[in-house]
Amino acid sequence: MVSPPEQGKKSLLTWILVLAAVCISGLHASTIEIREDALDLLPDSIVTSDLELIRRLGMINRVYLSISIDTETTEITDAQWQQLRESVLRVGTTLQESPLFGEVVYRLPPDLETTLFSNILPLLPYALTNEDYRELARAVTAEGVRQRLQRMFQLLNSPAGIGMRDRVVRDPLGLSLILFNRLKQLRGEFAVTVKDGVFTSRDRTSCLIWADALLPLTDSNNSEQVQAAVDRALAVGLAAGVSARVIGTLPHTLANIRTVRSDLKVLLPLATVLLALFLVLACRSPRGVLVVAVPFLAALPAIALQNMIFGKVSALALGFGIVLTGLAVDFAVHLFLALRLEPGSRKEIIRKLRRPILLAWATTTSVFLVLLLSSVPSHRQMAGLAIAGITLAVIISWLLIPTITGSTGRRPLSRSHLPEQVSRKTFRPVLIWILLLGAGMVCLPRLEFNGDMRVLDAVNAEINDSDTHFHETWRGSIDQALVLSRGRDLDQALDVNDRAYAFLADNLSTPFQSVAPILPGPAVRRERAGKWREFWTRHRNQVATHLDRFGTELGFRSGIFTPFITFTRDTEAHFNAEQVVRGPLRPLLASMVRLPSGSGHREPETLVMTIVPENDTTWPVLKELKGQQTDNLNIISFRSWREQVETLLKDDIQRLSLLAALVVIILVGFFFRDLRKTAAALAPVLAALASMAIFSFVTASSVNIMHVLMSIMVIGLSVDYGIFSVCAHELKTTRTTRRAVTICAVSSCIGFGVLALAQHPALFSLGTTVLAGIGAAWPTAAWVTPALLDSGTGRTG
Amino acid sequence: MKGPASGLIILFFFFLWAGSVPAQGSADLGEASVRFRSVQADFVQEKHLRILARPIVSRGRFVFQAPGNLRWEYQIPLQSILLMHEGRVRKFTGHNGRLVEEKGLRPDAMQVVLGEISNWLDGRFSDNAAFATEFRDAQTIVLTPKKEGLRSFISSIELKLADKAGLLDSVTLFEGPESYTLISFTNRALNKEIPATVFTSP
Repeated sequence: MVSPPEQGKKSLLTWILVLAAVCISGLHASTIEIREDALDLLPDSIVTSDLELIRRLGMINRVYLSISIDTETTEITDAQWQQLRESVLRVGTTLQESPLFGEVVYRLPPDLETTLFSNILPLLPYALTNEDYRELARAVTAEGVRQRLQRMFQLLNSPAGIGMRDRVVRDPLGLSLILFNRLKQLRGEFAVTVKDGVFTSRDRTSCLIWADALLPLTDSNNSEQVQAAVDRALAVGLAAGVSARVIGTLPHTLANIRTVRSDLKVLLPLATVLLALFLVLACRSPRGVLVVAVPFLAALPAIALQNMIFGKVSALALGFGIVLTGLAVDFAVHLFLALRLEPGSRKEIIRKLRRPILLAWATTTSVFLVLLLSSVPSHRQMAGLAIAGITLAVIISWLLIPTITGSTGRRPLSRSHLPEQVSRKTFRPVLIWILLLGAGMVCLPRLEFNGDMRVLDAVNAEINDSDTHFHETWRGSIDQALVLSRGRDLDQALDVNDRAYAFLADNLSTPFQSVAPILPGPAVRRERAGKWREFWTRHRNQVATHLDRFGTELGFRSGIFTPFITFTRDTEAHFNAEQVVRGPLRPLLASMVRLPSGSGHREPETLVMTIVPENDTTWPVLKELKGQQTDNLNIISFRSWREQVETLLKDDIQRLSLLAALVVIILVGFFFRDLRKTAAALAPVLAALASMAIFSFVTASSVNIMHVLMSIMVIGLSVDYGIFSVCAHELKTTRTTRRAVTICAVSSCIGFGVLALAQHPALFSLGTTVLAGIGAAWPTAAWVTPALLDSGTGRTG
Repeated sequence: MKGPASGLIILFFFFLWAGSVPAQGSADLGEASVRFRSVQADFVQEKHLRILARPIVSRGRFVFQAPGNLRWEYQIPLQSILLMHEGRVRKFTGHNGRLVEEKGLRPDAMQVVLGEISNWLDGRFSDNAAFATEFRDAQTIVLTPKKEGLRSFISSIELKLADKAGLLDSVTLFEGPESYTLISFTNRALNKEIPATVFTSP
């Protein structure tokens, strides 16, 4: 027998040891890397391929600015255009000066006009196709040369001819037009035209700027920084009457984080106050608040454990993992109430509780063990944290709760505090439960899993408006698929791109955008250089003669076309693709060719992008291309990518749900070794599932990933309610247990239920799921489980 | 492609000038340009280039209407018409007695290089970033490109003013040593109503 002072000392020592362990683990936990990476939310097989490439293309961290003149009319005046253009130049320059951005594309190089011809003419021998040579064969005949030279003469003599001397001399047959026409296809991924050196929409009321942020925009802090830089640039650059829309990851990240913050700012204090009041009243002691706090001491050690094993965790997993640690609050409440209200010695009470707590812990953690098999990294991290957190919370509760209960046992509840006798109403709750299950079974097959993460995106009217404007102004209504050619260097990537281009050109009837016609890879270049040599070996002399003859007739000096003749002979000219990409055409090529940045990736890789309109006719061709060339070629269809993510998540969820259900049933069955008890213990789980299914069906006819994740938590809680109720029935401590279950359920409903008032769709889903699930599990555990047990024994309470 | 773009730029520039510049000195050009609506004239163009054995002499007529409508028509020695209407540029050349549109010179292909064109369309030259303005005497204005790029193919532009305010006698565009284009105007008319079809069809 331990004396009260010794007991007090022992309790103090226990608290000191536990708090010391928590503090030490807190230090270790503080070094964990918290990632806010959207990739952690998606299945592994997706992440390792497509999304990583999209990220490397800069699309995720790209900020798009659509700068528009504020006008109701479809046409704008010259003065308005000047305002718009100057705004674009000022905003673009300011963004370019910001250290937060790498590439900022907002205009063509200012000297492009004077350098373009010289820069692209050397590409001609490598750009000519068989079709071009057929045209060229006609051009080098006597009549062809005469007509083309006459046209050039007219051009020279026209208003458009000023400054044309060099061009006439170097390209008297106008062959460079082939290249200029090809340039038209290099509009990147957007429906832009170029006016006054800036990128504008067809109606010229909007201009486009895109800037690659150097910080990941899936991180909220980075997003705030980048948004501040964008705001500064807009404040400096926008003229009166000109406005800007920001499109891309940035506004979505910020809208989500701001909505969550705004929700939590109101709901967190509300939940805390309500919870504290409820616990103090329900436990009739301020210690009730402490009962809830004790299990959460496990959070820091759990994070420290995660840090030791993985070294990093996604922010979402961290948040949810800690919330899931709260499942252990149930154990603490049961322990606390049993010690305070049940008759018997502390030792006896603890011994009695050992079995239900062990069983509840086993079933809860087994659900999360199953979740460890998920293909989604954040789900695995969440499961790891939950397992560690719940286990440690049970141990800590076991150590600390007995120290705060004060006088134990020996104070049975008065009749006035007890719920009504079960006997008289045995039939009614069971009937309601059966009806609930029936309705759930009707709704469940009709529910669709919506794996589209956008349903959890907190978009506001402004973002919707900007996205719609962007889609309509810059992309039209066509979905796009990306064909990504990869290579160690640009030449290798261009070779892959050429093969893809050849296949698509042969099989697609719709136009698509590619750099291949103007920037072929070395294999095609070699072949075309050979063809160029062969062609001019045959035709050079005759063309020289025709040029001299018809040129003289038109009034040109004899021999002035020698530079062109020399050009046709110079087949050994060096072609440096990288130089072309980094040259004056860079703004046109920047979004389609991604050179290695020199940092960030273990193996630098060059990406070349081809953009294909995505529809029912192009997709089979793209799939066939993918089947033919698997090496260094990725095809990303945003439409099918979304479908793929949805399918993978759906498969994952179905597989894991079935496995978890099986494990829980086996564990509960194994522990009770009695079909009736097993069914009674699982009754709250079935009720919760049915209720959640009905709620989801009535409100949306679909379930999203947040519903599913919260369902796991609800199942974990519900099965605990069932187990405690069955064990309480066995031990004849039903009243205390019912009170404990009620306290746990109401606590959960208050804590999570307030989130049903949230604006953010993810928090709203979370709140409503818990409310629906626990709202059904609690009365089931309180009345249906005992009724089911009683109905088999003939007991009437 | 630098040539076509530059040429158009220069022409737009002096069309506006022709309508907006007062006969004397450096009066407020912006205010003058407000009054200007259209200008049309016959022209004779002499092109002197080193690559030519002899100067090309062409004759034709132009019509310009603010803010950006242009018809520039060569009649002799080879017929060709350049039309610009609502930002769309079309060029027609004579083939066997018929005018055929030059598809290769449509704006889509040219837009890549039609960089700074609108800067020239505002009609305010005294604060133009591209040219420095010098009033050499009462009837001669010399424009010199400020930018190196433009200077590489236009060394200067000389405008000879007519007696009547707002009209030009001639424009000479100097492209380099021994290379220049002299355009002289006759039968000039200011602010006449011009139907839109003049700028839309040959």
